[in-house]
Amino acid sequence: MVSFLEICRRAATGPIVAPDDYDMERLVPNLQKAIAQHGLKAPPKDVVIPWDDDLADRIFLAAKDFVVETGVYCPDTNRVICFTREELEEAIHFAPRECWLGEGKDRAAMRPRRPEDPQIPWCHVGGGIPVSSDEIASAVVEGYARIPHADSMSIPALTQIRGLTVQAGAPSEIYAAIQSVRLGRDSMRRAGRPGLPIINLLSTSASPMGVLAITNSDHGIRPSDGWLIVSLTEFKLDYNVLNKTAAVLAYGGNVGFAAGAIYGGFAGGVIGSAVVNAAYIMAAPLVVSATYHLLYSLHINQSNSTARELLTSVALGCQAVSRNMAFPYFDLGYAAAGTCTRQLYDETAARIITDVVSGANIETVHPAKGILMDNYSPMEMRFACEVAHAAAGVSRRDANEMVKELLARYEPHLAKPPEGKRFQDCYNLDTLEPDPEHFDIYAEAKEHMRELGLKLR
Amino acid sequence: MNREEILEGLKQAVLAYDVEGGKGLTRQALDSGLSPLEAIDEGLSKGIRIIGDKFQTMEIFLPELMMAAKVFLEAMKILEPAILALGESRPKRGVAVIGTVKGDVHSIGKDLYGTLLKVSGFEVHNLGVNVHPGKFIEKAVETGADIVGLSALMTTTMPGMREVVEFFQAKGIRDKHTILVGGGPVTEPFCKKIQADGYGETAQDGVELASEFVQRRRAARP
Repeated sequence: MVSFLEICRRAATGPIVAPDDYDMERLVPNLQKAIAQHGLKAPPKDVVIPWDDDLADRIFLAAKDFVVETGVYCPDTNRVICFTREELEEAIHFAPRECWLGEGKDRAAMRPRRPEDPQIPWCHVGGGIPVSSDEIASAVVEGYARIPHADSMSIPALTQIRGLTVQAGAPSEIYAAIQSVRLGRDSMRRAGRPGLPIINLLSTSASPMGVLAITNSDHGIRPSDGWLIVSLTEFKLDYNVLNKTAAVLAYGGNVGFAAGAIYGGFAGGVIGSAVVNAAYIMAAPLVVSATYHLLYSLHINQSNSTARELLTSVALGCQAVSRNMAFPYFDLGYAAAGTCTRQLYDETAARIITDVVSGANIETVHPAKGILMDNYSPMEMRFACEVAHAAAGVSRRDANEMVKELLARYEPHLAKPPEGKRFQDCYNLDTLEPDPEHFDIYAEAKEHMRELGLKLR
Repeated sequence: MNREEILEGLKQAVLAYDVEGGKGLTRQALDSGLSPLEAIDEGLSKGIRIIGDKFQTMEIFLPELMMAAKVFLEAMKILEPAILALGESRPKRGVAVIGTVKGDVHSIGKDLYGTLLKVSGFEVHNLGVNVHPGKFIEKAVETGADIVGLSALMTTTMPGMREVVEFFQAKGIRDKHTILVGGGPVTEPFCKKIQADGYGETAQDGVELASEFVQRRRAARP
């Protein structure tokens, strides 16, 4: 197996390539070559969730060729970290087959799934969405942790600490990073789930300094939590990312590689994005010694990930990996619509069903593209988990019909989605119960899913 | 080839991402006595406008857009000396200084914006990623920039946009430059809150905004 130190050596000694040349002279032509060599073609538009196993397998082979031919670019050294086919195949073969996370009664293993697998998916709840105050952060995480399906947590991104705006690279980031972990841990304890793992370390802080500051058991962090190592798009790792990885590996923490294709970007359309999505997951154990992967693919113009073409490219990438590699990963979608809107529930159901029947574990869908302050609530996250459990074992053909119905409802509104409400405007913060209007939207969405044939409890 | 055929050929070279074909036709245009400005406005730019529309609707993707831009920019390398030799000048839409703010190393959206500005006729100075506010000021003053375009892709780097606005205010030159913001987590309310001049949801929106602001500034000049 290629060690992480060897990856760092290659970042310092690999072939020199100019930044612009890497994108347009290396990555794009290699991707197009792999697509052509394996005869990959996008399915017709009415097949949102494909069920063609041969296509999925060829996407996996194309992704392997792409990774071996392209390597990973290090912008700090202008060098390419290259791998041989044997190294990649060995990493795929010896990739962790399960990722144990959490403590005590909340400890569990995230496992790989197959397309149409009846195995209940891992449900990762929450999101690194901006939050306006400690009070809101505490309340929303407690609400997340009360969701019985929750297997792991994302804690929100604090935007201020005692009135000081949190800024990347500033001391405010260090204080906020520590505070967000402490708040998250206390909230989970109040919900009776003290052992739940936090596996988005750390949305409040992107810098290596912030990661080093929280990677300390005094602040409540445990090696059984998970640290996200985020790739720059596409296939780029700078020294910030490599430094964080080195620190987390030395601590003995779980490294989660976080990467997904930008639909419409250098990865191109449905097929290109599917290949790049599969390539990211398969490369995760090799590049950053990951024990799990977070896939998140976004639309270059709309910044959401519930558009038809994007669902198809994610479905294909997931099916390719889930049929050919035993490695735990989960997928995160970004909805256009905000909290407490019916559209959010439709987008959520479409994305979660697509993931689950394609072999992925799930993260609850982020409302309003994950960018509006306090725009989230445990209600739609619970709905996402319920849909995920009910979709386990559903055939891809049946799922395709359900998702088409959902798309017919929300597709015309993706460009101008409803913003929805803030958490504190649709929840009672004392009881952590949704307002009646919000609960009714949830109940109506559940009923609709039952009508579409999903066996929700 | 007559005038119409050459101009149509230039447009088609952009649409076919044909760099060598575009260069050959550009030379042919000059040899046949066609005005370089006409070759740009009636040939190459028409192709680029179609490419921009196709990218907006996702009929084509970033690699195709970059290849089409390369056809345009390579042809411009041949046309610009000819424009100067004739003592003419291509009316510049404006000067833009762009960059990703301090602490943020994301570049795709910002580079896409730079490319679209360039093919729309802007002179573009791309400062790269992780740019200190002082660098934006230095370049904006040096080039007399109409537009300062700021990009951020993380919630924790968005305050860097506010810093840039504050630096321009502190220097007393805030009213001399239009500051536009964009990037995944950036929103219109955030733009207003930090007192930037405009927010573009997509790179194409940002180009249209930049053009509008430049026009407004020029119209307001005494």
